[in-house]
Amino acid sequence: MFFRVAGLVMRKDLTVEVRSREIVYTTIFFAVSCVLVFAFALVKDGRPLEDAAAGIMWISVAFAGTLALGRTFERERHSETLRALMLAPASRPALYVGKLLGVVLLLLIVEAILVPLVGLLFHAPIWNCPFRLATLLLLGTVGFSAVGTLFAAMLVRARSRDVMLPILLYPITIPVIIAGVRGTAALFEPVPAVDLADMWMALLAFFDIVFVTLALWTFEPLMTE
Amino acid sequence: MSRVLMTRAGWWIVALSLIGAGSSGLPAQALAPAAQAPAAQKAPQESPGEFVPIKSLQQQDQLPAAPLLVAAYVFVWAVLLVYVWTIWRRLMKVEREIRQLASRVGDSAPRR
Amino acid sequence: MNRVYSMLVLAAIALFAVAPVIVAGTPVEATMGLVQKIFYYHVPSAMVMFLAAFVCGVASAIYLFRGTPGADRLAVAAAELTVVFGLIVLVTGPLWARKAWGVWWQWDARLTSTLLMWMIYVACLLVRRFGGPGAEKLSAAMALFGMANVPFVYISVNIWRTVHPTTAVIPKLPGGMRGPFWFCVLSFMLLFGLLLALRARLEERRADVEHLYLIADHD
Repeated sequence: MFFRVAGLVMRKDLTVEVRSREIVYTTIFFAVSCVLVFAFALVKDGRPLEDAAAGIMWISVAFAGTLALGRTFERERHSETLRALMLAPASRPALYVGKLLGVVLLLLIVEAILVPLVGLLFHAPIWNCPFRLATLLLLGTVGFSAVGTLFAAMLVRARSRDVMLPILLYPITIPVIIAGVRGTAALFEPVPAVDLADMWMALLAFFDIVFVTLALWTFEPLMTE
Repeated sequence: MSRVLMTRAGWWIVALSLIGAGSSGLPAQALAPAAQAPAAQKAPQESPGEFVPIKSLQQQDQLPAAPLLVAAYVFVWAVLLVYVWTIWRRLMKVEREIRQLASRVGDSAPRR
Repeated sequence: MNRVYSMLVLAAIALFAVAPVIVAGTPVEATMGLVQKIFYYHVPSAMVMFLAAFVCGVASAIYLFRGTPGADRLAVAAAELTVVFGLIVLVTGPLWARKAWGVWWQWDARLTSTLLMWMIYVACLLVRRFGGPGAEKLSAAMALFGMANVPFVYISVNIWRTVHPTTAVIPKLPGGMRGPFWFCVLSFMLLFGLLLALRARLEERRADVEHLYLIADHD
């Protein structure tokens, strides 16, 4: 039942998105612009700074993710569908998981475009350890989205919500960014430091478990008046 | 009412003592082992496992330690004092408001 | 209650005032010299900061799941104290580091995590101020997530290599340093308890004001 509800919520989000494709296109374009801006800032004499590729990738994902979260919940607020969801006889954590899955999927699509782009522009060896890189990205995205979905949902009714989301989100998710960047940088080395990357992945997995659990736990009391 | 007075007196004791003690502690510190210790300035190295009391004098020093030490302690006192002062200010304001409101509520009651 | 309270205030002041004198008498450390004495204020402040963060997290959890207004008041008091003592840690640390390590700041795990935690609690206070109605719950959730970060901070030193002295320094303190250190810890803890009670009382009085406004408006 739980997963059915979550699946339904996710499908609802996907259906709405597929029709207009608004958030997907704008988020991808924003992420690409981010990469370009950072490229101009961090490339010297035609050569990128060390570890720039990993950092730029994750920063762009974080910024794009924040925007996407804001837009997704703005859409809900605009159509008052969030209240309708809350009134539905479905368990609140299931709603949260449904929304989370939608956001994660959106960010994974953005990353699918971003990672090859970064590899191209910064000569980063993304095909060194493709599975590890994919796992790292997945774990990091889940961690970031878990906290982000909760905070964005909380902030829907708050004042100055646009600026509040980054203020609340970034300090909590910086461990995710650190682990992601250092893990990715380890994989982008000429000889990939696989053990180091594995350690960062373990940390990310731990973070994900802790914070998804915390989010599931606190979603209900936070969303009720 | 006595509680408010106690708070006020307590505040004065806190503030004055902190100032008094802070200024008495600092000269004692500066005088004490200032003679001994110019420490060598080292670049970041592996973490020291434990603290060891000084056994021999080291002559090379590039940065005098005393200003940093004094600055640190002064900062701690200053921050705590300022914070205590802000709480005091806010508390006094709220107490004043409560007294005004209480008298207002007291005044309006007989009308009903 | 009042007598205990005033005795505690005097005890805290006495302890805190005597601390610098005691610290002046401690042996000077071999490698870092005089500046290591910042340790006697830096480390207890860090302990208080983490304690305050923990209290804030627990109080926030109680407020979120039970709705007790007293818990919310305690949470805001503890959040402010985390910020205050965190500020002390983050300034005395670099002052010490400048002499001991040669740099003001090192992006190692513990320093970074402590800064992050500090920012989380600043964000808690910001959201309370600017978040509009219902901001207390947002702040509570933020504090809860912040507290969940605390283990990451503590474990980080022991897993990753770092220039920061490990937490194992304290059990190995030589005798002349141990006494003053625990004395400072005691005074800081006492000060923390008092400030917490005072700040929570301020919130309580503010709640009384709101209550009185409601009564006054009724008439």
